[in-house]
Amino acid sequence: MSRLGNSVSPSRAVPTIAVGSSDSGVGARPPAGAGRVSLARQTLVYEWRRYLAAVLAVAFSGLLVLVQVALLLGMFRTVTTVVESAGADLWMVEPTVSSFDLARELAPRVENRVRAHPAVIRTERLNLGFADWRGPDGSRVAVTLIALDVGPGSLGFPRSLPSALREALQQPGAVLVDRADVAKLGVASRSEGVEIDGRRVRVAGTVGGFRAIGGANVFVSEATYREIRGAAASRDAPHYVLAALAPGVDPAIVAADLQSVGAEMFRAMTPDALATMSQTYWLLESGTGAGFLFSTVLGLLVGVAITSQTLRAAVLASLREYATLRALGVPLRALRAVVLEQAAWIGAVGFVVTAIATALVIGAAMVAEVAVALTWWAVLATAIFSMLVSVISGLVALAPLLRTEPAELLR
Amino acid sequence: MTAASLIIDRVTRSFTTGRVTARVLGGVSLAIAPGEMTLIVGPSGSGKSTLLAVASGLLRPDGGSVRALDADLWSLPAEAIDRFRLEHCGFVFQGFNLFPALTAVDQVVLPLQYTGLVGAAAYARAMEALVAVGLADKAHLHPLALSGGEKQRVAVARAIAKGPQLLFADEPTSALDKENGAKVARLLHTIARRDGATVLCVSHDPRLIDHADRVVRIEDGVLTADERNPSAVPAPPLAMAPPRPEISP
Ligand SMILES: Nc1ncnc2c1ncn2[C@@H]1O[C@H](COP(=O)(O)OP(=O)(O)OP(=O)(O)O)[C@@H](O)[C@H]1O
Ligand SMILES: [Mg+2]
Repeated sequence: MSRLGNSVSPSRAVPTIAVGSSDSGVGARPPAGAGRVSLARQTLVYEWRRYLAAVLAVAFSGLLVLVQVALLLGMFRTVTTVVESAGADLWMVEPTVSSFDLARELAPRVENRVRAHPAVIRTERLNLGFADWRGPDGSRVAVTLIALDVGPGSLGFPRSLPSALREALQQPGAVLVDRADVAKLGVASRSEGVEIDGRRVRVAGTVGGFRAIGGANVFVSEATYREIRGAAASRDAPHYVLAALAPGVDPAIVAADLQSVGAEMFRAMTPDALATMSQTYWLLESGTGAGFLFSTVLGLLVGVAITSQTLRAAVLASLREYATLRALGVPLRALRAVVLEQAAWIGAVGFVVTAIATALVIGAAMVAEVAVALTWWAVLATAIFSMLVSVISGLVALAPLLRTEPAELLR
Repeated sequence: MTAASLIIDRVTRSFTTGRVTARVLGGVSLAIAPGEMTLIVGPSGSGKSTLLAVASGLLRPDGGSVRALDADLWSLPAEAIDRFRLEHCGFVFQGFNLFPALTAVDQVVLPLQYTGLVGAAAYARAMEALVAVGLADKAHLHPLALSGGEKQRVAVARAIAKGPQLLFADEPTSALDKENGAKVARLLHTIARRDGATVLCVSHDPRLIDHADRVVRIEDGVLTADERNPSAVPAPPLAMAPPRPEISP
């Protein structure tokens, strides 16, 4: 009686041990820095082979999405490489233009208006023109002429190119083409004997990074452009007016100023704004968006199918252990959290693999001069996508855990 | 006799599979005292595990009630029953149910963490429990490196680490050989005797009878015998555990 009364201990320690009286048996200490036992992480590490399939599934579906985005962005960026590589602070754009390549003529007096602004230190014109290229071997290609100021300090001429190429364009009839297009244009071995719209021109050099989606980009000077266009170009109306601003001036403020005096004639845009507008236009207009969405959903489904099966198998394998924890009073939501934490780690590790693989694929594409481009938001979106794949998988994998009663498993 | 800590009152439970409904517990009443090990024996399928599950808050009975530590267990909401088990109940099952990825000490720490005990304190408590089952030197091993008997002792350590007032064991020795079975049985008995815990054990293993203070027989869901066992093997002190002053002889 008294024995029992005494020994029902209100303190819930393991009552038979006098702590500290002898620490010979309690020699082991918690591993340094290990505050908590994490079932999720320790299982992932210990049984990593089991989870590898899930990590790879997440990684591949992420890769699918990210490489597609890179190709699409690369494709659409080709539309605006000229804008992004030029040195202008502001671009005057005809108000109804929705993408750089779909240029319209500005009113002739726009350039004077812009030049009158005290912060503007230089203006230039830039024209785009569709033309018919005829190579030395008789090949015919539809090309886009990019006509720009080739004088010293040119704003339009790509900053990435050496000025020797700019000077080469000063020769009458000289043109520059992209390295990736020389075969298509029939000038791989010869640079003479080319005609554009029936006028004789000469390939004075090649550039890199200006490959177009279809056709080819051809850089020419304004004089050569007028020569090729003849009467059609004489109206003196530029497609774009480029402006350089005095150092330290905020382009946004000048753009607002210019806008207030010429809103009906042009829009003043920073290169970034013009590039974003053009890429967005193509993303939405081209129909590729729908195709991309389709394959992304496909990637999501495949990723979830494999990942959820892997996680489910892991949950099933530990169902009795989970049931024992339930019996010991661990709430169901805590076990749910374990599975979801595992899913989140798989998503995170999967995304790291995606990032590495994407870097390799993009590197290879760049070597092969395939137009690819990535933005931070595309990478962020893919990271979210990977998390989505794994968390949805985790939720799917929870089903057996939620369905079983501990009593059924522990008989 | 001490006041019973676990009172099972006219508990019934049926299972329906397809169109057949089988009555597994046919109104079982039983009062179980703390400080001793009560063993329920009976043939396979007689309802032992079902009774244990009902008594421990794992399986809702169709009728009757369970009074555990002065709480009317099945009148509580589900979360409160979880909470009750977390605070007061330890479990040992036939399968050891250890996570392959965790070391012995982490197996014990894991459920402790959910009671709010974390870090070094949880670790120290887990080590105490492992010392009590004689496995201090195997604390860092994964289940793969433990024998069956050692795994079951880790499971016992996991069950007793929080110092539960109610300890439930379903066939705790059935997967073990004679010697290991006896070791685990002695452990359970000792926990009842020395800590004043209420130990309810169900088994068809006759070897356990020698260690029980009281043996209850169930057949077809009704109790058929209830005997005290005066010849119960005295509970030995826990391994390496210095005796508590108030219960030293
Ligand atoms: N979830 C369930 N669904 C259907 N029938 C069940 C369920 N759980 C138990 N039973 C039935 O109830 C009866 C008693 O089962 P229980 O597990 O309590 O037996 P036991 O005495 O523990 O047997 P053993 O010694 O073999 O473990 C069995 O006939 C079993 O088929
Ligand atoms: Mg059973």
